[in-house]
Amino acid sequence: MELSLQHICKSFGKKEVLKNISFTVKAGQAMGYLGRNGAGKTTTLRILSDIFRADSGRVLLGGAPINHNQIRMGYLPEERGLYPKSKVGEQMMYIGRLRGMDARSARKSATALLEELEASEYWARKLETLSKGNQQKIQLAIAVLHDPDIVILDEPFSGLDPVNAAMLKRLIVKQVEKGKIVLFSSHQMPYVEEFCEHICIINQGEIVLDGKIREIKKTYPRDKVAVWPEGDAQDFLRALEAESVWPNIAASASVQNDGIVITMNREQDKKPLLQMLAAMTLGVDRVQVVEPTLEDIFVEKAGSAV
Amino acid sequence: MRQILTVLRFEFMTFARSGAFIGITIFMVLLALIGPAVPRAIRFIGDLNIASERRIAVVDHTGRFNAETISGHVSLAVGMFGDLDAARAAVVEGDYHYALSLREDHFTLYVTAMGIGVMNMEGSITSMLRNHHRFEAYAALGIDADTQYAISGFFPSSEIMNLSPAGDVVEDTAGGFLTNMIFSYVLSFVLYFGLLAGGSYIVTTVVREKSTKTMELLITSCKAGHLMNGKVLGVSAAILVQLAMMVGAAAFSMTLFGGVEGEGFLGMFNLSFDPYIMSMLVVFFFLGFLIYAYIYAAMSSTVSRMEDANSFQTLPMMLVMGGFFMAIFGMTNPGAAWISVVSHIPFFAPFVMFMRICLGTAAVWEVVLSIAMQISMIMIVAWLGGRIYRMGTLMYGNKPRIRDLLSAFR
Repeated sequence: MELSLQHICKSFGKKEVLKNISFTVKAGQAMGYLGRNGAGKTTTLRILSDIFRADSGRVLLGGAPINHNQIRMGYLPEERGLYPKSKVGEQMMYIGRLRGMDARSARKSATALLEELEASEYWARKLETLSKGNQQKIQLAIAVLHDPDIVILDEPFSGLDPVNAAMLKRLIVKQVEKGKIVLFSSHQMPYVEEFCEHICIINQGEIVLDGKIREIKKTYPRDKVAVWPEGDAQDFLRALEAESVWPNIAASASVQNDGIVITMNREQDKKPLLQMLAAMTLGVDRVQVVEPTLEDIFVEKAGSAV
Repeated sequence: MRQILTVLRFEFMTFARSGAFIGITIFMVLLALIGPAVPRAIRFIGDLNIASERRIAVVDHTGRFNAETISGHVSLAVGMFGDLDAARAAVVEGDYHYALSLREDHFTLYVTAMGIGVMNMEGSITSMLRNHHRFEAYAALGIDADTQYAISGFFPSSEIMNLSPAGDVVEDTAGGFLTNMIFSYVLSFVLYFGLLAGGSYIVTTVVREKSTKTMELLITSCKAGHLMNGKVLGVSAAILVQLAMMVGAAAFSMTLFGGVEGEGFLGMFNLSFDPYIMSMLVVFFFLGFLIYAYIYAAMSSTVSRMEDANSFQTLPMMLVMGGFFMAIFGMTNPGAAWISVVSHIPFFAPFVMFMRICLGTAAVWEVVLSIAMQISMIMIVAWLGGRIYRMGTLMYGNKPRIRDLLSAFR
């Protein structure tokens, strides 16, 4: 099962917000949908959730046009909101019933989710009495309350402390493991990198990058290597520079965070570098090819002025 | 349908549990219990006053009146005094309520507090002096007492006959008309405040759902049309329950305390429970409420701040006020042609047709036609409102222009 957007266009008045957007998300995977503020992420997610209609293009599920009446979709809006004066349990039951659950299964699911999020004691409390982070946990629980086939989360980590963020991560990973289609937008790259195999970057209404993170990173030059010596990094760097083959291998090197980052003349120089390190008398703890971070990639792809 | 029922139940419970709803319900039920008992209470208090015997101290400078004659005219216990100062002192000390100084062509009434009753007393004494003067004149002309009474005591009886459109006599006394007018007044107020309060609640809940961003979650869980219908029906059901409780309380109170026996102004009241009028109240209130509730819901969905919502409430509020005042002013001539016309306009029918029903000037076919027109209007405003609501729920920011609203119908 896969969810595909094909050639989606959307304008508000004269402003063209989405320009021929296409991407595919597979079941059992989480896709990170990234972009700067105003890039068109929320509009895309709203079209997926059937809040807006696209001006043109199609949304397919399993190759057929999506029928929102026949699938279960869980949506966490960017603009969080529930009834502040109502009790948490009542609201969860209400939304569950609206999504077609009977009272018993809505209660069972809500209770289990609150327990998982360590929020059971909030069942009978009014929402307005909870902290912002706890309100957000309730929102997320509501998004997956009815065991949706597709989970769409708009900025799920914003405003969460590390403990709550970890709890939220577990819940998302669980959805992925259950074979759901999970799509979320976020500005927090470490979270995306942690459990997304697939990312899609939108910039000014256009998809500028789409693919598996692993493969995207492999498209970047792999000419940088980080070496963590057993001893002092400065001493080790001096020892490296004293080696006779060093000028043939390295274009530059510098000490960064107790390690040495070496920029090689060519990618193929990795093997001679490893041979040189193995022949040295000074010990090495770890050697790793330095890949671009997701943040580097994001800044490169979405860095142009909006 | 299931979604509509879910929203209906949620909105009903939320509204019915709110402090404002409970407070207003208690107040209205108490009012419905107390209101019909008021004429009887006034009579009871009046009887207490009679029991405590109100008294007048009279100083007769003419020498022509005695206590019995005066008492027959003013319905008070009379004490004859020889000295005006003593009579006035008796009033100041509270032994007497009035002191009266009688002269040939003039009298002075002394009281410690002014009021309508004092003016009535002045009229009674004037009448007494005029009668006395007239009888003395008759006697001077040699007319005997029996003939005098035959001339002066003539007073025709009267009644007002109110014909229904079918030609039947609806009410045969002015008291019946008065009672119906009171019904119409009071129930018009109930309708007026009920519509405005319920409409205002709907506006508040819709705008709050938008301002707290709950709307986006709701419309991904439920169709916008279902959401609006459930909300309108839920609030309407709560208002209907409130009205039913009030009608029940009024029926109970009318059964126990409604009628006032005896003659006089209070005796004209006959606040007996009329099932037809009360059932029409419920029908017209419910239909009227639905029309306005859909208008309120649709309009409030297009704004996301209460201050913007206030300006949108003006149109339905003007319609409600228009209906209310037409009903109030129409009571002076409920058979007028213009009243008949506006009573069929669905926006005004809850007030004007209901007033005509209370006063007995609406034929059955007119009532049925009016109900049918209101039901048709409900379907129209629900359809139009649904289109606006679907578009409006996701409109944030500035107030929409007319052009934006019209785009909902394309």
